[in-house]
Amino acid sequence: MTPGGGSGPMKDCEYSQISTHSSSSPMESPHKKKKSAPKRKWEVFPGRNKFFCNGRIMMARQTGVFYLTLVLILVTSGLFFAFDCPYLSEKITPAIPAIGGILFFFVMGTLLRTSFSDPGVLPRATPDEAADLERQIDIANGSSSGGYRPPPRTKEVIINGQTVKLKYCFTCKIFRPPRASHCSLCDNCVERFDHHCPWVGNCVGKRNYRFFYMFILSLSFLTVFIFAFVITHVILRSQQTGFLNALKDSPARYPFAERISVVCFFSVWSIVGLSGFHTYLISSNQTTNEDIKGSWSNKRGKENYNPYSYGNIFTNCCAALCGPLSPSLIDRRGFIQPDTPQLAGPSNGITMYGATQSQSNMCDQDQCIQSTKFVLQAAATPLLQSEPSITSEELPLPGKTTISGPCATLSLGQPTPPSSMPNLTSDSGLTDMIPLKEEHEGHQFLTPEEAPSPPGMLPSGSPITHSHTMHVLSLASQDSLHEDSVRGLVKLSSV
Amino acid sequence: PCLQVHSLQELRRSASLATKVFVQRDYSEGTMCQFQTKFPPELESRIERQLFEETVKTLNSFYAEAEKIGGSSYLEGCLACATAYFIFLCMETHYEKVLKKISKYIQEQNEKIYAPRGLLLTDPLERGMRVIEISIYEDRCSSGSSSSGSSSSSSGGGGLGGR
Repeated sequence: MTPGGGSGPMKDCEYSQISTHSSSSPMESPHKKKKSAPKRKWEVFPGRNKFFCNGRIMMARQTGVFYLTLVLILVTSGLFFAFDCPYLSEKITPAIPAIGGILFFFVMGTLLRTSFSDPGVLPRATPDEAADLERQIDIANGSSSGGYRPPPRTKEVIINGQTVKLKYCFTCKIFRPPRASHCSLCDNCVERFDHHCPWVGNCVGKRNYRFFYMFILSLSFLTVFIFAFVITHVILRSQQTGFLNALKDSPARYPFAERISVVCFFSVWSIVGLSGFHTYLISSNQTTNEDIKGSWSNKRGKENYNPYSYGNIFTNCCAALCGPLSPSLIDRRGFIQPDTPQLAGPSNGITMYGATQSQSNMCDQDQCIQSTKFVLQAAATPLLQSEPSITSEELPLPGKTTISGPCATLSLGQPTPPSSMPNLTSDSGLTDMIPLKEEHEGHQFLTPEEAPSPPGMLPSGSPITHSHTMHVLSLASQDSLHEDSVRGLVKLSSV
Repeated sequence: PCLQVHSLQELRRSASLATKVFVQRDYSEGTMCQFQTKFPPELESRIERQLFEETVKTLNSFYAEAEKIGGSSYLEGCLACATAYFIFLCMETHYEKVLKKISKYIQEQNEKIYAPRGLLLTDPLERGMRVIEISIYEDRCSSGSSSSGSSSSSSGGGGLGGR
């Protein structure tokens, strides 16, 4: 092995992953083929998220309830500061608005942190990675003869003595790490997935759980604080002028006292309850997801103890709240490297059969209502057909549907080498096709413990049609109502 | 097969990507980021087992250091909490500092050990911390390629853009 030259120019260049710097030197610009503005990665992010401020802010798609949360907090606090604080700071102490101000500042800070940050989204597998995984799964399953159904795609690992099953995510094409789960609303796998919270307009996962917890904790203090001092205000006034007079003067003198109280009263119970619940979860190092499913039993010495718990409450709390904060894995503001193949567009059709099983833990009744709505809409639209006209909103690329024909004849167990893929779109197209190879697997996307898909959804016809349909669906763009309805149906069926 | 030393940019130009090997995560200790030290069979002929294992073990120790729950991480966490996490806007977290160290280490390993053998390590951060991707390059072996490599390296110092 001869040490050679060529190491000179390397030293003054930044190490970037064998690809061009996206913002290249000006002398090369006339020869550049790509468009003038290089795209940032958030612009082609495959999940259903909204991005603001050029990728700095990331939220779920439906943010209506988040604005409601903001309005409730701002209006209630604003009214408190405007109308109750002057009186109270005179009568009792000016520390009251000061403390209230600090609490309010804390609440808003943690709320915005929770809502705007990346909850711990796992980026989808690159085509090479996905192909490699498929290959390994094929090897593990061995050759399947007719009649034998290969086991569903799970992997077992032993964590601290406990056997944990890792499930394969069909949308993201990865084996989910332990405690990760796929959020069907955001269409992302999230690490240490807790729940999707519409009140903050985002998923709650590994990276923003502590912000979420501090938010609900500080909000409980704030609501109790406001509630207590509004009552104090009314009582003090009533002592001056008599109770009935106090109430009569209420709209004029200190307006909205009742309204604030009402809002606070209801919030107090729900928020304090939620804080208590999450305190329990933190102290036992569980996620809402795991608790709802009853994954780990509480008693020591039983079969399924929690392998992630550190054993004592204090360490669990410290680990959850003061542990290190891992960085975002999705690099929203990075530029797309032209040499690195990106997953083509949003591909979320293949989540239908079982990847969304962990979404039974919606934290709000709104989700149930949404799901019901979707079911009703889905019932009105025919679901699985073999012609590509399913996606009413957007037609699939004609080139793709022709690929499915010849690909259907791929022999089993023959992985397509990544280096031979001609171009970007074919990459994801062909890797989407790989499920076609295993004819039996077409019916086996659900793991045994999940609810079977509703009757009529799985066509008993040829798996090729089935996979073809799935492939077509995988081309659908994100805004399709049909997709939502399918999603909703799967959610309901898995509940 | 002739063995040539490639710089990181030349590797792409003068060699073609043969295949990629993925080193998966090791979850036996929980959700901490650790990678399997099992030696992939595809690398059998390309690199010594011991070198590879040492790379992975060092990476594992870096990640363990980043995720360590101890005095300094508590301090950082409490301070951040006290400022309603606004401090994250200006301060770099301990984890990020270690990640920078890791990226430097990987670059150094690539330059010293892997590129000369026609291999390239990808930082796991760019693959969602799921895998260590090792790209295996086949040399387009001829004497011409070494001269074209060196001449293009002198002219195309700015990188591979504009091709």
